Amino acid sequence: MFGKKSNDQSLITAISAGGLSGRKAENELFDTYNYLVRIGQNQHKISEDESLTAYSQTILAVIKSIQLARFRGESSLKTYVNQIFRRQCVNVIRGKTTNQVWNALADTDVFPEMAMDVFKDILQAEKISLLKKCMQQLSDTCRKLLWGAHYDGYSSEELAKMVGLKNAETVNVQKSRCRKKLMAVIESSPFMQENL
Amino acid sequence: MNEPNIDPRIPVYLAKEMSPQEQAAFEAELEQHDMLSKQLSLYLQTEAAIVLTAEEERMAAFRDRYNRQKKSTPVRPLRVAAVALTIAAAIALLFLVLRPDSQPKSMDALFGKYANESLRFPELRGQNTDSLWRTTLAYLRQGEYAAAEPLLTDILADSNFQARSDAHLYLGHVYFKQKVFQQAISQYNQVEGASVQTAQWYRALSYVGMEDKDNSLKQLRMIQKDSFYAEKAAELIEMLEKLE
Repeated sequence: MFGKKSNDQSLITAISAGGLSGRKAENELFDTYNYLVRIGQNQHKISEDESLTAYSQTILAVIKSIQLARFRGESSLKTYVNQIFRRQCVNVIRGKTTNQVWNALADTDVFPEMAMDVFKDILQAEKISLLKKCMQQLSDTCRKLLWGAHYDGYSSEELAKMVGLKNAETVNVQKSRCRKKLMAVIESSPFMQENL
Repeated sequence: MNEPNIDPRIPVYLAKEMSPQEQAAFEAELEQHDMLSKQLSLYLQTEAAIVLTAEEERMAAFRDRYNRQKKSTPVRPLRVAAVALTIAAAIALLFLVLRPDSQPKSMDALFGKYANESLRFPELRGQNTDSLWRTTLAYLRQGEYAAAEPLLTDILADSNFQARSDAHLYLGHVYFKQKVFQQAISQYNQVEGASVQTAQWYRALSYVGMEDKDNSLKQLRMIQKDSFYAEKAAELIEMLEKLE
């Protein structure tokens, strides 16, 4: 019993901390409960692919909850993962696919109220699809830098090693350039221009 | 493509790091200046583009990970068969160990099977009022047979003690529990009246404890004919006869 709790706690601590050890813990979390993919197929009569989608979204939601300190360990991680997975399977059956991180951010008043209104407006499907296309126009290194820094929480030192840049300082300069480039791409996209 | 300029206050505002006054002033400015609100929208869309694609990337990485692991795991039917076999073997083993008619392999094991039953030492009506007897009974009930032995010997030395038969039975039990079988048999031989059947049974068990198969069977066959212990005797005879 204590073993499980301490394992839960070490995973939560590592995921909250982010960076490379956080990523390792996230993968461990994914591996620990991946038997749910099979359970999803058997219990909810969905395909392996659908069950895997539901499971991957579940793990992303759990990770985000941990990072936003919304999971406080009142239940075990196993129970929490199971609950979310069941909901995700039901969503798959209903034909709903959701962006976990997006929803997590929208549910939490992460920005001031006025900014939240703008933010929720971006939730429209066509805008999301266009934003993704804008991101695809960046170089591979740029995408990795932005994802690593803004989503995965890697430090500049870790990013330097990952993308093969000289040092943290170079990463910071490059990151800023990539971000500005992305902004320029979004700004110049015709659909975005209408909505800006 | 011109690189857009973003008001440096926007990230501070979104991070909720402004004082209430600063925030109110900034929001008033946002409402008045279209350019500033466009910058805020652009900033948020940039964040969204990063987060949404990062999420997709992560989902794809999870998928790869799952499929890689699936490929590297041994064929599932084989694993299932292995698990099923292990469970079946465990159940079979458990059945062999726990099945009620499992045959002990030696007289010693047979003795252990029956001799561990707890002995009863009921009060003797009208005879158990003195303190020596009460102390003896207390020792016997606590399983302190060595302590009870000299007391029982003293009791039997008293020619006025009436319930001698029961005292012999109890002393027999004291020797039986200490595996001094010859003396136990000698005490059981002196038991008369209502306790005779009990004494017979423990005498037979004493022979089993001594690994004296012939005498064990002889005693047990007598019990089998007519005794409260007949059923147990029959069972024990069957097992004894199976022993080489």
